[in-house]
Amino acid sequence: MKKVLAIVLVLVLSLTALTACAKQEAKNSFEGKNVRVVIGSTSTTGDSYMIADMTMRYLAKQLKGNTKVDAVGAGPAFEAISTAKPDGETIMMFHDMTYLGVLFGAFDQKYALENMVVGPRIGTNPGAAFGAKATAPYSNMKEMADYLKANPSEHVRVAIESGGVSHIGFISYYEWVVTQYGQEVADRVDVIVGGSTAEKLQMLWDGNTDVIFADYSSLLQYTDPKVEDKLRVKFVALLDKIDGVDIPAFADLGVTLNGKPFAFSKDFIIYLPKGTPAEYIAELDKAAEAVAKDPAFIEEMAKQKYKAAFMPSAEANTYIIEKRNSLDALIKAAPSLDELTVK
Amino acid sequence: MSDLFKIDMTYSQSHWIMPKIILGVLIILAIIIFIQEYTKAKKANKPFVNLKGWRFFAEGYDKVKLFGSIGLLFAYIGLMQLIGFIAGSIIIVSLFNILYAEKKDAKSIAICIGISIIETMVLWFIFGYIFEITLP
Amino acid sequence: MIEFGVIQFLVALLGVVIGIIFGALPGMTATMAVAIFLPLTYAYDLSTALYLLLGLYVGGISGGLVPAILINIPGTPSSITTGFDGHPMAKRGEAVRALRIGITASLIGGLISLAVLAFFTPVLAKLAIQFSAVEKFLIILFAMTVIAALSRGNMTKGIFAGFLGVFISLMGIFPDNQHMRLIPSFLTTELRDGFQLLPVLIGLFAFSQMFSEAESGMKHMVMSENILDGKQTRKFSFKDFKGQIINLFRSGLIGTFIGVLPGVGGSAASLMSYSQCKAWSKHPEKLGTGEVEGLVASEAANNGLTGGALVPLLSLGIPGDSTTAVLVGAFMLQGVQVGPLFISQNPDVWHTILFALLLCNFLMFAVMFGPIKFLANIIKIPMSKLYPAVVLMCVVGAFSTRNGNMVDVITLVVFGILGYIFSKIGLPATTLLIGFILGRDLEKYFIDSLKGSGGDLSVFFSRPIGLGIWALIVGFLVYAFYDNRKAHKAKIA
Repeated sequence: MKKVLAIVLVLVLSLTALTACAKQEAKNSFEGKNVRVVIGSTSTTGDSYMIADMTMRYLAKQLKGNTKVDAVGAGPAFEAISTAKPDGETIMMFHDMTYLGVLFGAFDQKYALENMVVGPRIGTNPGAAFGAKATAPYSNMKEMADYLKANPSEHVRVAIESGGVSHIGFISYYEWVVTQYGQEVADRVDVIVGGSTAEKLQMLWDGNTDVIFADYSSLLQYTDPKVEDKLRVKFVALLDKIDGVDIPAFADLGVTLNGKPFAFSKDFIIYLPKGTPAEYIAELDKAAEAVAKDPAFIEEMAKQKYKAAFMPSAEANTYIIEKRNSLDALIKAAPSLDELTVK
Repeated sequence: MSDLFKIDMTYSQSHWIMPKIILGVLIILAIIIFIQEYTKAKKANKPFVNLKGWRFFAEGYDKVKLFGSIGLLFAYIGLMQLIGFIAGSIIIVSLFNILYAEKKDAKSIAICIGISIIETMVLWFIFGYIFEITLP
Repeated sequence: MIEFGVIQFLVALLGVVIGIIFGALPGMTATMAVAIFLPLTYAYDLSTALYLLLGLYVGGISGGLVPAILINIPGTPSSITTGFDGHPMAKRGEAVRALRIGITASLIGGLISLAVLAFFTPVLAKLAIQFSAVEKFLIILFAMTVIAALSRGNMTKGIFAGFLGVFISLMGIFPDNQHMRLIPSFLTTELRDGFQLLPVLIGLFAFSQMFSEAESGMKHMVMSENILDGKQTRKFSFKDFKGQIINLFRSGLIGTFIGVLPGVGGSAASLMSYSQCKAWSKHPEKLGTGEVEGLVASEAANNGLTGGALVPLLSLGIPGDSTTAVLVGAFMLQGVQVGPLFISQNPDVWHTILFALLLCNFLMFAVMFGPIKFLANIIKIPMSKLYPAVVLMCVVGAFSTRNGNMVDVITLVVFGILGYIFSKIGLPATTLLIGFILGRDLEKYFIDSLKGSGGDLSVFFSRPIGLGIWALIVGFLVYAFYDNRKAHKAKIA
């Protein structure tokens, strides 16, 4: 009995010793690692998940590691990336909400871009859209403002996400209404703070909001004329032009951003914890460049109206900080959500 | 009158609405419980606070096993972070088995350790290895 | 038409078996099983992937009854109510009977919901979108009435513990405006999102039980005597279901309906079904002492969830529970859009799903019904050997809830101690847990309702469906208070 026990003990000890050694030998490389990829959305149907999932399937091959996309939501994702060890086992892939959330004050300053490492950009998604019920008495957001002007007792409620891309789209529109139609009309455009696309759709259907903001491709199927009236949705505006889609973009309506016609695409960038060794970033840059050139990847992205658009990390860093600074003044001048929400 | 049925929905303060309501309910319920217990005590002609016959632990309770269990669990948490899941689990689960075992001779201790090793390895193999679930 | 072959059969079987294992281990859930296997299914075609994932789903929901009955630790949040009557039966030595009743009820609940899915999806989808935040708030409130039903004879304390659970669930960040509350400032990183359900659940059930047993010296087995195979023990027979037909259908349909409502958590199904079972029962005072009725209500409801949760997913593109929220990824990965046009544009996939679900339900039954005899032997393991293994499993489960977070393991231990203290001062841990499970949803829909109305409370009384639910809530509460008084008088007399 004792003999058997001794053998078992020795076996286990050597096994633990082996695993411990294996851990020490690890280099600063993604190779062979289990990489957790957090994203800032909880839904597995939105663009954040879709793009992260597509990218990681291709990227994992290039990096020779395992990736696992984890849809945890914006707050937990920021928390994870700003507290994780810089060992290449946790990365984040997310769009502009990363800095917008902090800029709008929706998220704490400790999640600022300065407290993480900006990695390469993989792609962009121009397909952000506002949608309304198909039966709504306006067909785009300019008509919506006209409608409010003509009906002084009406309100329009718009569902957006606090600190999200929808928030920047909304305040640009709001400022535009203020200058074009006056404060009185703008006061009757109210904000409903909503959650995921699924939740916003339900709010639209049960009459708790009038206009929702969502990704173009995830709303597309609901706009099909075969969908029954109760469920059908129509696009009322796009944030940016999408190739081959004939829906007025904000720029067409005359909405401006910093004096120029409004255009805003989401940039999907990989973020790493602060202090990540340069080897990781170089490795990631190389792999991301290869992925973005892969025709299969480009095609898969294009099917959902996403664009593969690689940008090395150093460049992405300057680019995204410039983008952030350019929005600073607009956001500071905007009324807070306390004033914009339904009272 | 209509203000009675209206809640102030200032967005930046909306996170306090529900906690305040629930806290209010809890305070009301606490008062009701107090009154109930008080009248019950009065009816039975007993003092309201009767700590004499009351004891937290059962009579002749097993101190070693109870506090040993709690202590071991905290030790487990520390140990896993220090030496990892497999080694930490084998040590702690063995100690649990030994702590709870009725006989504590060499043979039963050996069995305890053996069981722990097997359990840990099986669990690690299924979840850590096959399903690639993150383990400490 | 329906895609089916040997591969599909094997894959479904594999899914069911693995799902049952995940469901049966405390801390592992059907959602986790589906999430783990989802990326692997990219290599398969859609139909094979669906057989696997639906197998995991059905198995994962069903597996939870095993530990709930045998050791009174729910394997998944939705099997909490299974233990109320299942475990007392096991203690009487009727473990195999209880398990088989549970499995059979699961199968029937699953089949009822499948029939609903197959024939009433379009109708139900339309009904589901009539349920706004107001109705959902009221449904959650209705599910909370189970607290009153469970605290029979000790109502104020039970309700107090329930609201305390709600209060604890509110700790952490409020997702709407990202503000932290009720958390001491030095713990804001660790408890950002408050306490997680699974560690709280296992802590309150498993660990507090373990502490109580440790206090009394860990001397016993789960059963007072070893009478598992004794001749005097009642064996399972399909006659047990005589008189349970209405109960089966009611529970199965409640489960299905809760599944159909997006955003109302799955555990609400078995809770609501259990409290309804109590309300309609001929001898409500016996529930909780090992009655077939309670076991049937709980298991039929939580398997009823499976078909129900697929209704909004396949007809609106909106998942009905947390597992189907992951499942939708399988469709997206294969480039199939689920939404209002899904059924008419993909009739083959639709029929395959129905068939796969049917197959998985029967596979679950086949895999569990016979072999459960051997599994029931767990109950013969002395506690001194059983609990260390439970500790190990629970720690693995808690740790993996959020992909490796030690905070969840600490939560497990803390709530174990809390549950133990509760049992000492006479507060029921079960109602605390129910409050905790439903708390966040209660808040979400309360705030959502008011957001649309600008804070006007009359919104809760302005909708016809809402008024109907109010009537149910009030009716049930009146009944529960009356019943409580009766129990009280009986105690005094």
